[in-house]
Amino acid sequence: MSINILFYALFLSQIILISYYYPKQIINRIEGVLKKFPPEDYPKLYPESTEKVIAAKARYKLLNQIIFFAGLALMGVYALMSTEYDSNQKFAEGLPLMFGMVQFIPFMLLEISGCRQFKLMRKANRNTSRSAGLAPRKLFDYVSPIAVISSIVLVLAYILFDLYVNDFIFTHDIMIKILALSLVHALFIGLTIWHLTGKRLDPYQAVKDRSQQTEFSLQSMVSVSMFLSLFLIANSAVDFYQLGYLEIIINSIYFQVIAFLGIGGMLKTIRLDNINFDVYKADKSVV
Amino acid sequence: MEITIDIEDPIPLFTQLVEQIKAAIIESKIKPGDSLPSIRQLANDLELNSKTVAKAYKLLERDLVIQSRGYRGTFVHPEALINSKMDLNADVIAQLNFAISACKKAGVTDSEIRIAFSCAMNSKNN
Repeated sequence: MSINILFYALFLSQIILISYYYPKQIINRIEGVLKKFPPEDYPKLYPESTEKVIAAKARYKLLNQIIFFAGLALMGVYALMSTEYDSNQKFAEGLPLMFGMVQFIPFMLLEISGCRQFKLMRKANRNTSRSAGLAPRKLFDYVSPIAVISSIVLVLAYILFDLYVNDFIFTHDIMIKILALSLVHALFIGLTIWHLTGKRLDPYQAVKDRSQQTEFSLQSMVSVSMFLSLFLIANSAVDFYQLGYLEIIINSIYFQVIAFLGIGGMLKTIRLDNINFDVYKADKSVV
Repeated sequence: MEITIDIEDPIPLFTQLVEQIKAAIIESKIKPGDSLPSIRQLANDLELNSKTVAKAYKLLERDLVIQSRGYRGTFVHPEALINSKMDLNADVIAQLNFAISACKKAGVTDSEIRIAFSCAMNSKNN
């Protein structure tokens, strides 16, 4: 019963954090940009009309509201069904994971919309002068070697732990987990290379702002990598020690930490006051 | 330290790059031993073809302004400050002027000089 109460609290926290709190922060941020940096003064920031930005914001808000109420409904369904199961067994452990994935859809759509905006910005960019910093961007300028090493050690620790609890037999389940972990890390490596040497999406972005964004992205990827390994270790441990009923708790915590590191970190680190918006003013090439 | 290039400028892009890196060294904005961005990074940041940046780096390396240290990257040459001030073009023009004056004194016509210059440029020894 106490596990059930803990799950209700955590799942409610997951619903509020990812589908209410962070979306509200993002909407406030969009409104803040529209108010402080209007298209009349910062035309380069708006390759499309502000009406389209407002419509996209409204869609994002509506989608999150739908997911928020769907989450509450799912919690109700869970409350009705969970009365019939043995509290020491696994029950609906995939619920926070599946719902968590749905919760991230509006954020992904917002990212896609952002990429589209940048593409339009690049298309509209008539500036013939281009600037670049003369300092190389190196991985350890943005993340500490200790963090990177810890991340690698945790990946290896997870693989060893999973093999240990399975008597060093490569089961189908372990292979899938290792493959998934490898794919996620391959994506992280690709994104790191792109951040360090790739083209900038925003053609007007100041060198300092890009550096700050790179720092945040690399640090959050390292943190997510470390937490992903810890999550997988915890998942294997609950199976090994027959604590399956804890899996639903771990899954909910996992998604909340991912949101905290990704969205929360972005909102906290990349503050509007620190971004150079002068680069978006008309006929100026301030970098 | 930042550099800015203009893609509409009649000066070739690689020349703009060479001149700006030399200027940064002369103005002490980058110092001998400082590392420089990779060709790929600079090309992507300036939205240029990587061959353009590679050509600029090759010329700077020839003039001993920068030095490549394999996988460790590209660095500003220890003698970069002196070498950046040297104008190789002015030296070439001075030497050619001297040679052309000598030819003219000897009675060689302009067209004969041009033909001789082309032959010299196309000869296997050059």
